[in-house]
Amino acid sequence: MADQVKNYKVFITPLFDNETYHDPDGFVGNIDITDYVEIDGVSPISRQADLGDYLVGVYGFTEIKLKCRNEDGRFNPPTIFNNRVNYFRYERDRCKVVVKYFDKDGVEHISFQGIINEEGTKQDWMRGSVELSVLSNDSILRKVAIPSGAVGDGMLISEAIHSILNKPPILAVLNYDPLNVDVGVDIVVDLGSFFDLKPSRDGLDELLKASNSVIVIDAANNIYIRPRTENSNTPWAFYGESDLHGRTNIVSIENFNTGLQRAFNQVKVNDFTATHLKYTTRYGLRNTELKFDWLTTPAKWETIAKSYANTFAQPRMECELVTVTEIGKEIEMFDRVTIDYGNRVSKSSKSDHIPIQGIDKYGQAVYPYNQGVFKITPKIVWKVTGIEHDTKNLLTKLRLREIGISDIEGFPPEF
Amino acid sequence: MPIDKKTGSKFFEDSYTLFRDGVTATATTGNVSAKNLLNLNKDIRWQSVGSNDSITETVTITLPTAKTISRIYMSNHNLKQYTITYGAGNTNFTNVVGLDGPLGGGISETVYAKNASYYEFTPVTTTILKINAVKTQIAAQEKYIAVFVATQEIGTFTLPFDVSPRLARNPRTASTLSGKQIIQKNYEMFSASINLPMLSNQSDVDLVEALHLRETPFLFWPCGGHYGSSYFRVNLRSWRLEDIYRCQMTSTLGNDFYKNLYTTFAVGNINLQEVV
Repeated sequence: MADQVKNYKVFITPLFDNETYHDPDGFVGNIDITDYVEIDGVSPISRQADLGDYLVGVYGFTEIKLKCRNEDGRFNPPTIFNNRVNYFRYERDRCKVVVKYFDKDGVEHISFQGIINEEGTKQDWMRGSVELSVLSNDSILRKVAIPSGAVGDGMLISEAIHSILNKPPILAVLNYDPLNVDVGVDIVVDLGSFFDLKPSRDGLDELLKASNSVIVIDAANNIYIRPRTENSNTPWAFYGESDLHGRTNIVSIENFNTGLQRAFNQVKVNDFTATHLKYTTRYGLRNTELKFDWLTTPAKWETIAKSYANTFAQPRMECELVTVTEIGKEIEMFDRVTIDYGNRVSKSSKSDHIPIQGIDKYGQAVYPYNQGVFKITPKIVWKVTGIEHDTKNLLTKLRLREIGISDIEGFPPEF
Repeated sequence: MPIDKKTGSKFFEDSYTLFRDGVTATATTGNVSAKNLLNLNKDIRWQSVGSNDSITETVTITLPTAKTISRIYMSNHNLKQYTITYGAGNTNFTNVVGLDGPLGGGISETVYAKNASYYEFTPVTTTILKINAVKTQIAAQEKYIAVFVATQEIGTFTLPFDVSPRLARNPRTASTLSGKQIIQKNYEMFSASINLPMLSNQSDVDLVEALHLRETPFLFWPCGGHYGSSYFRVNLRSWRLEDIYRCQMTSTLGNDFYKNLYTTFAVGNINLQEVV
């Protein structure tokens, strides 16, 4: 089959009544509104840890905005002007939105699923446009409170997480399977009442922090609780501009840094402080503090502090890699990636080819020109900690963090 | 009959023998460099080790899935005597036409003197291609091939239209305090503007529209198989036999008739840009 046009499409499913989704004519399913979405009308679809607090491990989707043409009033809320073409006969709020990417084979990939948030939606009557605010489905976690007693004293963290997630309002929107719960440090909760009536999201934040785990919600709304470790996939291979075999698939590499800003070699949890002395000597004292009011046992503070110090003592390189969405469409959070970004090599003007080690002879062959100050070897393996899709330019930005052993001791930091 | 002297540039499907698509190559000697001929990079090549004119070097190219091919192109090589066959049984191609005319008995050369080769033949479907290299143009040299392409033809312009190639180095320039500049040149990038002042053949129109509708890159061979002083007064980059580029059409397709007279001919202009 000939290659298809690669593009994004946007679909909505309106609310018929408070509990039923379908359009006014009874059609159950997604309505394609792509023709009414402005060309740059889909804001970047991003998935990453909460901004500003990378120790928090909820990797959900950020909110997106949809700018739509509304000259005929089809996106009006029912309270304003309910005409024949209006999609929203019952409510505009909470109507479902799906953004899909169609690849070169015509296969669709769900990039984002969410519900319209009326509070953030804006209407421009003069321009005949509307900007829909769409929250991802995982925003339900902010709207559902933890029932009193759901988290009890003596529960393991994994059990507490199960108790929080296994609730009908959450299950109605997200897919939860207890088998997908795998925490890093599974310790016992001392004061379960701490979690009573808190938003589920806040309760999960606390439990994930204490267990040094993350929650990942994929585009199909499946929930995974897991350690921060990388997946076991065959690493996605990326090649820079200088690849001699024409495999270049990197558009750009941005915000490369040594990761020192995310390194912590002294971690204080409540009243216990864990310090990696070798790393404080090497990188200077870099400390952070975590507080858990629901943990009263010093031994648990020690366990958590040491776990974090082991994870974050060694600075890990970070960067953002931009590639085409045709490649990025299948990459998942925490997938492994390699980057082969070498110097720019070109043949010398005194030679007709680039010499090959083991083939060409010293004294006969001529060294090639070598340009560039930046080199990343594919021996380094990275993990994906953030994904952002640019729907207009069909580009995907991957936030990457190095996976590696300590460069001080030759093995991972450990007390 | 040889390549039609009146025709223009040629267009092919992207090479079916690319290393990045999972194609592999092995060689009798110089095996570590065998994969270097599975791309369009003329600066890297397969090269034999310890060879001479009494030793036949065989390069075997294996495709992950069978492909139907009808064109073979090879450039930046120094081979004088060689054969190219397909399949595990070393089957000869049939109805082969080279740059200088028909070849009997498959792709078999004994006194080849150019640095690029091109063959058209009856289509075959295969996963294996073999190059048996016997002699080099300068006797007893190490044998080498930089580019090997197996593909199918999309089309050939029936006329030598006005092709304006451009080769850019896209230099990165930085001004310094001394007032001087630091300039770093990038890899060469090809682009071309093709002026079509007289599209009177339907095949040319179909070719242009096919390029417009494609989602995937194609190979553009500006010289179309023509060479020598009877076609080119001087040897110019982009017009040599070894100059073949992977491109995409980037321009808007304009469909005009000359002076709006529908019974005359169509006119147009297209732009091509080299892609990765």
